[in-house]
Amino acid sequence: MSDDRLEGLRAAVELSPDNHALRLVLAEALAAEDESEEALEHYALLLEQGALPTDELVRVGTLAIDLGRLQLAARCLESARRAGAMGGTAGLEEALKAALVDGGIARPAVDPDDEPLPMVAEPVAPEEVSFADVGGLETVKKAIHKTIVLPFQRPDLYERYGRRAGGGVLLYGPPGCGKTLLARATAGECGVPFLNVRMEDVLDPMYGVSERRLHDAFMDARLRSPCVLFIDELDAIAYARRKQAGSAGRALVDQLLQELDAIGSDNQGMLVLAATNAPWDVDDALKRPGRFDRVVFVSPPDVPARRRILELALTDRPQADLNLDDLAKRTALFSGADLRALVERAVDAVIDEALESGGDVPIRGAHLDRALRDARATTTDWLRTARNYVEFANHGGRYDDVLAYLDSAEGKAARKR
Amino acid sequence: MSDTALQAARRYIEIGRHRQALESLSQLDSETAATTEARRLRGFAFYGIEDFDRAADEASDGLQDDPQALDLLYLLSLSEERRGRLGEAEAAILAALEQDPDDAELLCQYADVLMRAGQLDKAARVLDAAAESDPDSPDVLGSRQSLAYLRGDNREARRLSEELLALDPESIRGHRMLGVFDINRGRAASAAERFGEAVRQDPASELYAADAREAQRMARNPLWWPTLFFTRVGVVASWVGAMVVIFGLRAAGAATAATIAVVAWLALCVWSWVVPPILNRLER
Repeated sequence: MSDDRLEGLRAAVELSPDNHALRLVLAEALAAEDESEEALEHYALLLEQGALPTDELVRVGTLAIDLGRLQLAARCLESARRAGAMGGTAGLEEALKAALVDGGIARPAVDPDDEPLPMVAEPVAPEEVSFADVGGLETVKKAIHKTIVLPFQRPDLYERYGRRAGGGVLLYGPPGCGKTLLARATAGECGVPFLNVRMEDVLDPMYGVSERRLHDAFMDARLRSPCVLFIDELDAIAYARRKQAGSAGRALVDQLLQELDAIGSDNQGMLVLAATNAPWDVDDALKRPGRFDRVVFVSPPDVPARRRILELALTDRPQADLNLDDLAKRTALFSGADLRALVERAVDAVIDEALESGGDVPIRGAHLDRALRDARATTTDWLRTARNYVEFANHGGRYDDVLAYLDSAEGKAARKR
Repeated sequence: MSDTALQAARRYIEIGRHRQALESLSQLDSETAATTEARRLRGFAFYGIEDFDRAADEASDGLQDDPQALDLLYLLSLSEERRGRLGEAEAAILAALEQDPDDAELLCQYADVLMRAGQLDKAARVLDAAAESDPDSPDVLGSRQSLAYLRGDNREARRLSEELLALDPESIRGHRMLGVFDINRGRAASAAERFGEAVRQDPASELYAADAREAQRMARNPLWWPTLFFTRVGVVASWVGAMVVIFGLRAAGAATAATIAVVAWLALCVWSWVVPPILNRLER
């Protein structure tokens, strides 16, 4: 093919970037002319947009392996499997495994009869945050230790009784109460890496791209297994399909269900944690057994937890005559974030004083008291909404923990606010 | 960064998290924050948290850059209507309809403005046009249901509510309307279920929760039941029934039974006048 024709095709694609057929012609022409790198860029774009024909997937995957683009090859392989491509997928998988072994990022298979060994991407350091870094929440920590951490630490015991490590856990509660920190600490307790997927990492206005990104996040986690994959703001990614008008959001929920069910893949050793402020808006299918069937309520911190949070927030700061026990008692319903904000506000006042006096001013109870006068607990809105929901829609007792909290002394205080 | 924040805001608005949308939008750089799209998103987010003044301001500012923006005209009409400025709300929605006269959603908004202004016949004509344009639209059914209710045609309003729920079983509007009919007929337990369903769909709404709580307390407390009896049977029918029974007993020579019926009836009447205000005070 002449250079002029290639240039013409490039110009045409630039003018009509959404014309998939044209981009495919260009990619094929480039591949034929040994301009493989550029061809692969166009193939990758088509794949991302779901416009790469099924019969091209294996060929593109092979080309990607040749050029060392192993993630792209893995995506081609996955897409080929999902599209039900009959020919060449086994060969592509073999080639991909061999390339991973050659590159030192996968272990070679020992016995051909064994289950295929997981491919391992570049290592991520195990999480260092532990439960000791989380103030309070003792009941929640105990529950997580029993249901999540132990199966990781004693897989032999669980295997003997036919239980598999892994699965899904949904943490829910008011914002700022430590759900993300708890998930991170869970990974730390298990001694595995923590992979965080935020809504912004997944959502894309282009059709099909959000699903692709979600799939990639799971693929990445599988390659790094054992690990904790944490999905933040699950309700935004998996908003109840019955409430969604458009089809795009529904497709994303379908994709997440596929990933959790590990259709065509293996989630063994991968723990999926998710957090949400609105568990009632998460699609019901996700809360069925085998998916996020363990639902854990992360309540606003209690008095000892608040004391610990305040203590942590004040560590390494000059202080004098602080009565944290008293302050903890007077900050009912404050979230961890509220307490940290309270300390920051007090510190601002201390800095102002230090600037005025020119000397060292320690943080005193009066500073915190003044900051407390202007502070409000941000959990009350959430608790009000939760009360409405559990009062009228707690079918099956899924949110009994919230009910118990609302019936507690602090919960009753929330009603009065 | 700005693209991500815009995308997040769009998603938050789609799923009704308006405060989070505003938080995302506050991260935009000044150039992106001044775009029509950012104004549109901010406007809908403000509308979602019922800050109608700022929603209207955002819509007006956006329309200065793009006077033809349908979304902004629609938002402006919604916000002005909620501010009680019906003339402005009508002008905005008519400007939108000039561009797309067959859009059922726009026509419904126009009908809602007309209903609020008391122009029910004109609203009916607009809704007929909307129904012709999109017969299966839940918006159209919802507006027609409201119109029937405003006209006092409860039978039609009820039928439309049921039709709406058949089309969209999650419709808050449908559940609430049927809840109102139930409570008006003294069926507090059924009303509590209907209002409870609305809470399930939108637990953040204190209005829906208050209605559900009220119906629930009437259904659970036996002291309310005599009052519910009157509501269910109707005042005229219950008086006529009582008189028939009392005079029937007297005509049949059962004077003692008639006296007991008179006393019981008077007790029931006094109960229904005196007890509800006391219960309302005690239970709230």
